[in-house]
Amino acid sequence: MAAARMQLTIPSELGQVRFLGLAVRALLVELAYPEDDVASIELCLVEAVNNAIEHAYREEAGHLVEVELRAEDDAGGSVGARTLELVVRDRGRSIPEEILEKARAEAQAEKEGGDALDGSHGFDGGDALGSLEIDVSSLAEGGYGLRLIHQVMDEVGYRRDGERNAMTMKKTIAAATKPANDAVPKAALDGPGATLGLS
Amino acid sequence: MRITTSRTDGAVTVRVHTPRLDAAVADELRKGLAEVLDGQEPAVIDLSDVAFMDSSGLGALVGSLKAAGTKDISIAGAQPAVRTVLRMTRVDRAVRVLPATM
Repeated sequence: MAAARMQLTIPSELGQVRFLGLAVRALLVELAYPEDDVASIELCLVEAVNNAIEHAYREEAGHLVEVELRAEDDAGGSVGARTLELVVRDRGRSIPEEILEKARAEAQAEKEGGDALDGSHGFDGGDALGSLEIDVSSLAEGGYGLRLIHQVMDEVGYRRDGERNAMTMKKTIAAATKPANDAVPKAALDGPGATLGLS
Repeated sequence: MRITTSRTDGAVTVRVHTPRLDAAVADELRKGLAEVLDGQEPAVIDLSDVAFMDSSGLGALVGSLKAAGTKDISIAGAQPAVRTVLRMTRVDRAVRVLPATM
């Protein structure tokens, strides 16, 4: 199965993160990843890079954040399960272990408790005019980033590698039941023989 | 960041005219919302123009609503990606997320 492989580097400035997010989004759209996966992967990338800039580098300019991406292609139109891997590296302070563990535990609890709660909500917006369960004043204003990464990704790793920190994120994209509308004519026109020979 | 307000039926609608609510604009969002939210009247935050929101954008939004003391809050026009973030963080349990308009 072919894969897109790419390395992208940006300066440690929050204003640069969106360009990275938009570049990866464009790539995943080109590979016909489903839109909800594209959106959640873009979100995780942005969260991981924001973390590197805000915490590892304490928003100090003049450093670099490196992103390595590997995104499996759909093998010329036969859309099966595909794997996406992202690694975000910085040379700043490491995220403390207890913070990583807390995010992991919260995301796990969310995944386990999520089904019953989602079921009670019915269709999207179906109970929009009903009563709300919690008060706004009890909401946290931060700390959502790492938890979101754990909620979206199948695997999240973090390690110190020499002078660098590396956050590794992996997600398997489920096989599409049918190709996206615009993918049908393209696949039919190109045919498997027209696929570029990237390994 | 352009933020505009309109008033109907005793509620203020606050429209945030920006495609991305992210860490780069979080402080600007906080300041902008602080200027228009008085905490007394119900508020509808119109996010029709927002295609992407990260946890910093969400934190700024939640922080502004808390700081203003607004009790009755709705979010209108949320696009799918924004809706997902509101759901995953459970902010939709404290803020009414209005159905998408057809």
